[in-house]
Amino acid sequence: MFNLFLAVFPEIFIINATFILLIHGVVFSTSKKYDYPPLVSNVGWLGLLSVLITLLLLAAGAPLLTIAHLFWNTLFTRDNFTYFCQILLLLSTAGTISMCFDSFEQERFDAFESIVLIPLPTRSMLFMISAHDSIAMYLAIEPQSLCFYVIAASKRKSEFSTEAGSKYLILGAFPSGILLFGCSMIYGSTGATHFDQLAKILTGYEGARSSGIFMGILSIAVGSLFKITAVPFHMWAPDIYEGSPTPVTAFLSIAPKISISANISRVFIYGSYGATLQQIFFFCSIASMILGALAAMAQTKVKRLLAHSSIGHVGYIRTGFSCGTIEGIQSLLIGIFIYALMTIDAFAIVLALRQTRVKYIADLGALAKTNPISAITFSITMFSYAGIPPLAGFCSKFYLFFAALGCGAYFLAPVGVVTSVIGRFYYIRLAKRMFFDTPRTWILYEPMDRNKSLLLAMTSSFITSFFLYPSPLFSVTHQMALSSYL
Amino acid sequence: MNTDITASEKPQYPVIDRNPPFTAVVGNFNTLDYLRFSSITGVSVVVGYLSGIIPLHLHYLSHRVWIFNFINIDAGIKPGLKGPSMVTGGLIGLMGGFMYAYQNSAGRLMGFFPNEGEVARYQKRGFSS
Repeated sequence: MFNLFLAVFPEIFIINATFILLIHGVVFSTSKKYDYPPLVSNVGWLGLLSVLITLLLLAAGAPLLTIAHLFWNTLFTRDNFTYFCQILLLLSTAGTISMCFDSFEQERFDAFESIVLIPLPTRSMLFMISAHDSIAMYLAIEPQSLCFYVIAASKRKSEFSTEAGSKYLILGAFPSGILLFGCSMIYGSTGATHFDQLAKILTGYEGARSSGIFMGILSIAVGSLFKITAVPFHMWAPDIYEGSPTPVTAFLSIAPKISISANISRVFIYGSYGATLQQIFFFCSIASMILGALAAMAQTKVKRLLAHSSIGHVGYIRTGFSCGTIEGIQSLLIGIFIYALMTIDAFAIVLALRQTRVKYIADLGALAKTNPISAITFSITMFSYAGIPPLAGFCSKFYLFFAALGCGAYFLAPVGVVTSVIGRFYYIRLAKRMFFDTPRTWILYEPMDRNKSLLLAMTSSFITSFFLYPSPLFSVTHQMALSSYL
Repeated sequence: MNTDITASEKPQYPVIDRNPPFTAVVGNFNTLDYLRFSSITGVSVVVGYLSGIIPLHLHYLSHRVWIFNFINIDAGIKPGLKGPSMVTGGLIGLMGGFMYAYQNSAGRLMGFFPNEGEVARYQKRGFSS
């Protein structure tokens, strides 16, 4: 009986470790004997250790995690696609936690709960990636969302953070309800919640347009697209990303995109493959790309610009998903991987600059003169976001548009190229501000801490050198995409 | 509810026991398993110890201690959290290390990981147990 749980050892470990950290934090943060110590750094390092051990359990136990698949297959499934997404998620979580230490200390943010609230939704997202049933999917989405609402409001002394948490709670509850409504509609029409059963009923079922099944699938799509900040369900993202503490924004920008993209792929490509919603996903991709490019041009704050950039990148990544082909899924995985690394890179630099009260784009004026390495790294990241060759962002967009052309979406690829060109305006504007403009205010930038430096070194090296040898990632993602179709 | 232990991936090595009990898996721990267990626990204890050294200036970040430094100027050097943090790290490492060792041992018995040692041992016993 115990061996049944071998399949979920990583999840069991991370949830137990999180509870241990929570108890540790509660007991010692209120301990008079230890003079009420600040525990962010302490809990942070132990949290990072927990995430890395979870990664070890997942990566090392891969073939073993498929045992008792008949027991778990009613709820979860394990295949190469799941492993790739879960490993990427855990790496992103580790990167986010490692960004937190110095910035929380500098901002005098003494709330260890915000560190505990990072591995907690990670466990839910691990379940969401491997969810193979509507009920399991919803049960995984809700704890994740609840943790996000709390963590967005974790900076209690900040009105912006409180506003962000409140907005996220109210605006996030509706799509969760819509998603559950969709699951219930599909269950009512088909009597099935398991994706295998839904695949047999719904794949190629064109009659779905006139029945409750279409409403159900549409509701699930709406709920999922909201969570991933796709247009036209993106309105909440800039305010919440700006109001949340910056490490939390980084986490919100990366982790849910990975888990929900994986889940959407399983639901709509495996569970209900057909042309029923493909047009809707195409529309959302195009709208996200256009709005992400145009809206970011008017931004004056760095975090809001990155939020709109994230909306645009969701559009590019949705392109791969909308194709519905193996190349499309492969390009989705490549896009998500490179997007995660670029976002970690960008937010690590933004975090380092926030310590010196950099909030507006105009405040970047003196960066190239006082800290040229940071300026160069930030510029490289922005150029990669813009899709300028030979950086990793270009390779990601190239493959996404290539997949779109391969599936016959001849309108989508040119729109993507045009919006990329438009988007280069505000990315290059940052570099222009840093290198060529006369600074309005001279800000002395403090040296970056070691954690962020190491993180930036790794991610920047990947971004700049990916084009030299991209085939490992291409072959791995191709294998992962194939497994999602089997 | 189907509690069959069959895996969706076929074992690549000889299967010693398709569904070994807990005691058999723990009894099958080899030197490498104990090394993994102790390494992860050791690393976790060290991480807990090092992360528990809270620099003096950070104590001023805690609003709860801030006021005491004005009331009691003989507050002195704060003790840090080395001991308790070591214990917490040790607990996390103990759990993680045991799970990792268990995973490897069970995998060898079930035929998912290389298991020449187990095959030789069970061949000697004649697969009687």
